[in-house]
Amino acid sequence: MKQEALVRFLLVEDDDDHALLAERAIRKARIVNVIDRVRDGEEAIAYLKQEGEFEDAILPTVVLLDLKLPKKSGIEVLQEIRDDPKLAPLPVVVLTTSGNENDIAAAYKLNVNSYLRKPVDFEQFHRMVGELCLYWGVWNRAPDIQRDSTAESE
Amino acid sequence: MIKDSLPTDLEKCEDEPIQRPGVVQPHGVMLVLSGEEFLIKNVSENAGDIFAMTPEEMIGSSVIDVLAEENRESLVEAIDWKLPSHTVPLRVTVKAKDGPKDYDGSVHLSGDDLILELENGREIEKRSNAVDRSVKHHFDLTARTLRLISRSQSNEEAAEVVCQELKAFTGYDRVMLYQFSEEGHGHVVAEAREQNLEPFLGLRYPASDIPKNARELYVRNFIRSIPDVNAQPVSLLPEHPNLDMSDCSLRAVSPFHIRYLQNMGVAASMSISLIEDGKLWGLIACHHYDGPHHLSATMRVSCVHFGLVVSAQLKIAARSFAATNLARRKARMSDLIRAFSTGEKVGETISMKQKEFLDLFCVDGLVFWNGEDWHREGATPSDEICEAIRGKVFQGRVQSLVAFESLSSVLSGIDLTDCPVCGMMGIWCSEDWLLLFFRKEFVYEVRWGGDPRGTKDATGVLTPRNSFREWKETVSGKCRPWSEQDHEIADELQTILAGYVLRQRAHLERLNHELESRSKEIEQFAYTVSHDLKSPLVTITGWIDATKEDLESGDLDEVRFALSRIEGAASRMGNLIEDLLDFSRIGRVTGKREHVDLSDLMERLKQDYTFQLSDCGAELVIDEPLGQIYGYPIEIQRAIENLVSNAIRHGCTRPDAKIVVNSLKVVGGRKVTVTDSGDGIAPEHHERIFELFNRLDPRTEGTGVGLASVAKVAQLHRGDCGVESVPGEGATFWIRFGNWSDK
Repeated sequence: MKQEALVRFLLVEDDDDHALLAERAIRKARIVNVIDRVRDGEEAIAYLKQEGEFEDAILPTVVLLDLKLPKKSGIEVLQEIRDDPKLAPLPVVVLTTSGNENDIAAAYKLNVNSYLRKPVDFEQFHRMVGELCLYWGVWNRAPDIQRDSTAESE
Repeated sequence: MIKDSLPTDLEKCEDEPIQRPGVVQPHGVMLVLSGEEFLIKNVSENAGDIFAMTPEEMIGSSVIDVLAEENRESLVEAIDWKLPSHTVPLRVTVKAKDGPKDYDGSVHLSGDDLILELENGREIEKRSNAVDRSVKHHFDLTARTLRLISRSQSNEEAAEVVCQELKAFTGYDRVMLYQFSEEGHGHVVAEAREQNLEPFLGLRYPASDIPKNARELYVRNFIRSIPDVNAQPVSLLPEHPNLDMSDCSLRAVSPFHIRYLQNMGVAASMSISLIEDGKLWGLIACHHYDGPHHLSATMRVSCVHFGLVVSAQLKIAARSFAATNLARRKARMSDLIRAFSTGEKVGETISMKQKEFLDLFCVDGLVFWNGEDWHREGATPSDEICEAIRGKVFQGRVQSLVAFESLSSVLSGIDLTDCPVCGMMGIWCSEDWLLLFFRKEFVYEVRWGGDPRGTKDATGVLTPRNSFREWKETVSGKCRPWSEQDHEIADELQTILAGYVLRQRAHLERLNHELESRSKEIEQFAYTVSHDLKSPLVTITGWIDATKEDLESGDLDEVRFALSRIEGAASRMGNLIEDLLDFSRIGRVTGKREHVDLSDLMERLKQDYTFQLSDCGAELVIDEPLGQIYGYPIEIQRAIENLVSNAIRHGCTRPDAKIVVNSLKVVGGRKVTVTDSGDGIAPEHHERIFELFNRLDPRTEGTGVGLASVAKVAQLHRGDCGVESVPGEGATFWIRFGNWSDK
């Protein structure tokens, strides 16, 4: 029996360095995981809705969403996730350098599961991602979303 | 019987029953008639002079017995008028000793009695020097006078015309026009006199010279004639002390007034009332000095009409002079107002135009309170006094106009010793605007026709003045009075200032609104900047931490990788900061506006970008002629350069890419367009791409400041910018530069 990836992350991040650092942190968390990355809001939606080039994408366990994104902002992406009955239960962790109160309020209104500022102290970021993996990946398994059957049978 | 005693004091004079003297002037005969039979109740003692019967015989008989038969009808007709105080003139034929004789007569009612007055008009006319007494002459007089009044240039000139014409018509030695002040003092404003007479022009006569009861009679009878001041009045037979003689032209003159005239040296006098709206505003006074001067009843009627017409005409002329003067002042006011509307601030304009304000209001000084300081021009009081005026006089009442001839009357308890001004008129428009006009004390001499303070005789009893020698009084403690016109102009100025206050308030509100939206903009800017500047910092810190780990584990390849990432992030941060600085300078550091030749500009850009263009294999096509743009040269270049470099970076994804720069005149300015042949932009991004740091493709170079700069330059040039694009068919970016009025 093929072992299924325990935690599947979708990292929505336009900044390459932030993406690399996040991936590095996730990798070091020593949990079995898969990380997919998209670079803007439109790609994120296409990925989650399995459209276009992301036709074969597998729905993630957790979405790590940057708020400041090209083409479509993180808030807009979040809104679309919550508006889509199929995607609505998906855990979303907002991950951004922004400390803007309005952004936080908007994100929480859209039922964001966690809101984490990309800390300037990378150690903290590291630990945060580790805890994130444990929390969302191990203890708190995401609600059972109807996943693509082909992906399921992989 | 003759009343010889004088009232004992001036107060008595006010109470003297001048309407009921019981005696008549001797130049005519008076009969009191009663009942339908016109029975003679009373007759003046001098009746025997003209009637065949003696006065005693006449009493009790019908008037028909002493007049010719045909008079009866005209008498009945006259009574039918039944208008109390309406005097009806009649031609009366009297049965005289030597046969029937014509007299000038008039009848009027007094209570239930009919009073008939008779004068020998022909004899009077024979005696007087006046030549033509026809109706035509009367109309000539009036028409001529009106014409001359209408041609005159001032109130004084008009009044003088009246005096000259009336003097010529009546033959009096002196004709004066008095005008009464609010307090009732008479002021001689015009005069026509015989050369040998002392001038009275400009003299004032105190209100007490004409007692209240006399004033009432002037309103009731428009004319009063005393042909012979020294004539002995004649009594009625039998005596009738209660007979109201208000409307009798023969009514005897108050002994007090006779003494007054005698003291003045007047032998005969006549006065014509000048009345408007039932109010006595002046008198035409005629004096004769070297003996009696009779005017026939017809002449007197002419004079009454003359007075009525002239009174109205003088008032009209006065109003017209005032209106012309007002119009002149208003025109100057409107010049000042034009100065307002071009001025940046009304306050500054007032300060600048203070001299003209001084002139316009005929004042010696003015201060303008702009909410902070007192601005001064000319003679003005100290700050302390100005503050007192602000507090005590206006008491925070906005929109009030006040005027005082004496500051001390309203500023009790304030030391005004060294205050250079005396009177004030003030306009208060708002908490910020207070305009005060000041006039210095106006010390002037009043030339009274004799000492106005009443005169006591040796026994301490007040008598009519003995001396009419000019008596000068110095009046002080007040400024020149604020005229109705001054008020009117000030009122208008206040209205205008109030308008400006409102406008200024609206302007402030608009500024506040702008400030609010500007501060929101700044907040947004700070948010964006903090986010995007923090981003590379997070990167650098992240990689440094990673490096520590990698050094511990001895993974040097990873360390090298991390360092290269740090280098990249630091350089990006540097670029970002530089771009941001440039961006923030737009509109803040501007040079002079100039005409920028777009063809020159594009040639330079083409050379600067040669390398980049060949690198992406694109051709830059300049669609001449491009024309000129008026504005800030550096900013114009920045905007166009940003559009071109944006096209090179994002619009050259295909082989044989072409970038076309075009320019055309549009409504409200000139538009420059940069068209690329790239992938185009989806409509939902058309607006967003002009926002700061909003990049569509994070993989390409750029900080996300370029297009935001274009938008800012457009705004600076009163224009706008945008993009038109169909995905897959390239994009056309445009910027519109607005027009400037100083172009």
